[in-house]
Amino acid sequence: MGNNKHHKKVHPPRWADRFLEWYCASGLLDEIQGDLHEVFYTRIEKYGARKARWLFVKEVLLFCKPASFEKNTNTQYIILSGMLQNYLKIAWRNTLKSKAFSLINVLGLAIGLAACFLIMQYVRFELSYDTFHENADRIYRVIRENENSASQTPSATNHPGAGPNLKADFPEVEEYARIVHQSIFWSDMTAWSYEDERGNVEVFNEEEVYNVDPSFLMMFSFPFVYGDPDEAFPNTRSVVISETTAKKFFGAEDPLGKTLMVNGQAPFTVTGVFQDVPENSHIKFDILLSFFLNEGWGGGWDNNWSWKWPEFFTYVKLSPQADPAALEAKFPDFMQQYVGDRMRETNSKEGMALQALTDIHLKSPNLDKEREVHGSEQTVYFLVIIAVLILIIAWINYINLSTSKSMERAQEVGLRKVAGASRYQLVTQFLFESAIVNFLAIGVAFGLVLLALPYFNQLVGKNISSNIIDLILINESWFWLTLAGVFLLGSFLAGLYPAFVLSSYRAASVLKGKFFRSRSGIFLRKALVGSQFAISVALIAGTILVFRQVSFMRNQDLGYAKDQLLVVESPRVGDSTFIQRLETFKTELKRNPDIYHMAPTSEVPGKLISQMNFIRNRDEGTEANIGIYHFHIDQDFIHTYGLTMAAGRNFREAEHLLPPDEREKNPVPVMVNEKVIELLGYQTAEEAVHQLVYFGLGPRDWEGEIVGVVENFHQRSLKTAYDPILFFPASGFPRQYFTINLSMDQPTETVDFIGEQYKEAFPGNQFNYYFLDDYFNRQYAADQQFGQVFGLFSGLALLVACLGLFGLSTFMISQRVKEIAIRKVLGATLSSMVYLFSRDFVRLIIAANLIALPLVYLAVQRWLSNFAFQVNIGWVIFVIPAALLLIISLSTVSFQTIKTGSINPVRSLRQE
Amino acid sequence: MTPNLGNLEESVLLIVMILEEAYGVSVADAYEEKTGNTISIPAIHTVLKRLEEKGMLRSCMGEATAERGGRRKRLFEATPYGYSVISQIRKTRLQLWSLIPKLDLGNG
Repeated sequence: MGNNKHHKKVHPPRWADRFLEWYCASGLLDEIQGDLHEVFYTRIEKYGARKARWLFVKEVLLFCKPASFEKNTNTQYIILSGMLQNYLKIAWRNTLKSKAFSLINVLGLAIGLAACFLIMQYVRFELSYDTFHENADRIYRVIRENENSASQTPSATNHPGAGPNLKADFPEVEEYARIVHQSIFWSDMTAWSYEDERGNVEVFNEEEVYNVDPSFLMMFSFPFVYGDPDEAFPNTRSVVISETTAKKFFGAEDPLGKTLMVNGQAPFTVTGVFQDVPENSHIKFDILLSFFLNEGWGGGWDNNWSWKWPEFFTYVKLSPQADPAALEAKFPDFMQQYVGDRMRETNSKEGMALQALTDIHLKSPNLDKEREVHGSEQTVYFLVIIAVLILIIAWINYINLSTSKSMERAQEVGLRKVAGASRYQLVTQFLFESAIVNFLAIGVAFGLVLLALPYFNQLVGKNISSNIIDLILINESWFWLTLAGVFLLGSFLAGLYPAFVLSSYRAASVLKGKFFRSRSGIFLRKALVGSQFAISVALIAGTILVFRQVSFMRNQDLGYAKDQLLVVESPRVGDSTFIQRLETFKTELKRNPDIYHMAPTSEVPGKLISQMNFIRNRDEGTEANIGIYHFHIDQDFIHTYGLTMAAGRNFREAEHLLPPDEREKNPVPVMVNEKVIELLGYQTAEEAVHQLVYFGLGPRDWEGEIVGVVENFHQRSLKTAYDPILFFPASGFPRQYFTINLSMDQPTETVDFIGEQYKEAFPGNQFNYYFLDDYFNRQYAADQQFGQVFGLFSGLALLVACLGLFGLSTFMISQRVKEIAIRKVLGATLSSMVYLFSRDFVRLIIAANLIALPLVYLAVQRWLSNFAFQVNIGWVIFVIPAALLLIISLSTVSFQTIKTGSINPVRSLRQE
Repeated sequence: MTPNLGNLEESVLLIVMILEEAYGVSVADAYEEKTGNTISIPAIHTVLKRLEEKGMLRSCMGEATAERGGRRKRLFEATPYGYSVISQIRKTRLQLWSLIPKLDLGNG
């Protein structure tokens, strides 16, 4: 290396040389760089290039010390570090000087941020639905579109033949899986029992029982605790249960191989246990069976049934390169092939569509036959908007509070300027303070979120995150990025304006005690407060409306006496003696004077009726078919529910017990509600009585005679219009519920009495009951929650806005201390001054209302359009927010004015 | 009283006095040559600067030379004060040495 010929070409490391030139003072560069270069070349000869370079770098770094720096830079460096310490000290002193004020400032920001974080977390949770499945992006639900159904909304379920035929016909369909609730083959609820070795029997009524294709557990990712998802169903007698269900029946014992009895009759062997279905799955189940293994299940999959039983949730997994839109385009031909004949025959149209798995929860409307009420994208975006609004309010608040503090800081600014502070330095100082406040606020916000989380979980009714470590958010980089964004934006945007205002004071006038007040500054502040008011008005009005609509729905007369109706689930474990036992039960109940009526039915109000079919006038063709719901009742139904007959008669005693051959001869007596009459085209209910109709029930058509018309009542929540219902007296109909009309004088005793009688009449069954109004109102749980969440965040927004108002009024009054004193000296009364100062705020509030209310009106209309029965928007929602704001702001301003006005004018005027 | 002068400072001061053209690199070379110890350029610079601050050295910028990338040298020379300090130190040392009874001062 020590080659003379080469050493000219070897250079000291460029970057080190550059670095040296950068830091080194120009006066010293000659000697330092010169010496280093000279010694570098001698060292090459002595030690070789590598070591010379290394020594060069080492010495460049050794030279890098204050003594080598430019003298100017040197002082600036010292000033910078010194000033930072000073800024920190001043910020700390200012914080301590006015503790209440600082508290308001940090707290206002923190509350806003905390509200934001909570909402973000909720939104994140809602968006996470079904994303945990490994193949989530390839799984689609096949939904069914039917123009002839009672409602025009597509159905979430499909024919049993759809899945297998899709897989057979289209290569891009890798796998299909069907899942169907037990209500289709058993009933809404079944009794499951386990008898241990000592003969103790545990019975539980299970609701979430589904029948699935074995492929279901392979297509979706539901992890197993015991057993293997690929071999979960060796035969139709195997059952797979959730971890919680397993614990309920078997405690700590190994559940595999244990036997469970359904309704005391059919034994099933546990072949697998899966982890409880997570909260963010759109379909939730506790027990899975697979009757599909039996080729002939449900009457055989011949063409009669496989395309005539649209009750099956059907999922398909497409191959990775498949295009769902292209597949959908082939569906019309596919439908022609399988149900074309029927469509031509009945002049109806039936179609299918693919729904991405991850879209089901949020991005699709609630379809018919859905098992669970899905979230609404609208609500989620509504909450996001609220979060943003709260953040804006909090930031405006901070801006206002900081500028109002500038009065106290003006002298400091003046002195700094005199001492040579540049505007740039002052802006840096205040941005620095802003960053500190934002940092503190974020810290406090985190604390608030952790404290509020359990309550928030309760409020939204979902376990968004069970503990601190679990916080889904914290583990995700996007959250930290957002947080950093909020921090920087908050520090910068919220800090910039106060920084510029503060730094714009002219030193001389400030120190003389005069302040330069720009009109534009005042206008900006007013605009900011005005927008705070507008946001508050909108949020308050929205909250009031949501609460009004929910209470309207809860209190509306439903057409029956829901307050005194008790629903008892009918026994699941039973035998042929059921009818007899039921009669005994009825007779026993009638002995109690507090029990008025009792009616066994297939349905109760408060839910979607599960059986659907069609009806048409007898003289019309199948093209006139109207979709209707089937409600099986007997003669006691009308009395029990206290319904009114619009025309005709009730069913007669034992009319439902007519033998089948009797029915073949004569038209079956049926009752319908007013909605059906309207759809059939009759003007009045009387007209419809004794008219003959055809209606479908099961696989065949029946001829019926309308014997009575029942007044419309609310079968489902007031979100939906009246359902068209056909009441049918059938022998041996599925009596799922007993509804009991009882006196509310001593409900507890009466319910106890019913329970005793029930246990006696139907031994071995669980006595499950609920009051109908509770059951009915659970339909509003989501709306109520929305109202509460909305109310909570509106309240928080209002609180933060109030803090801002307080800050602004303090600011405005403090600028006018002398004015107040002079007015007072000249004889102004306190009340005239309160009037003078609140005038501005009243104007602001009026302006804010004018801007906000039309927007609120539009938003509110849009929200109300989700409901078939709507509350009147009414003047209340426009008056209350305005009045509330007026009261809050006037009391704040008056308080400040009176406080300042009560000071002895001499004291205010003397300070110069 | 002798001014306080460190060992390295004393050596560097002496070397500056010896050398015809004393600047960072030449002083470092001479130091290494005479004492056998290595020393870094920044260390030499620091010592030179310190001696200048104490008034024992003075400096001026030399001419630009090609071999240093065109950079000029800062040339040092000892001030009269520097010489007087060095001779004072020498005197003190000699006195002390002469008082050592067992030391044979280089006479064989």
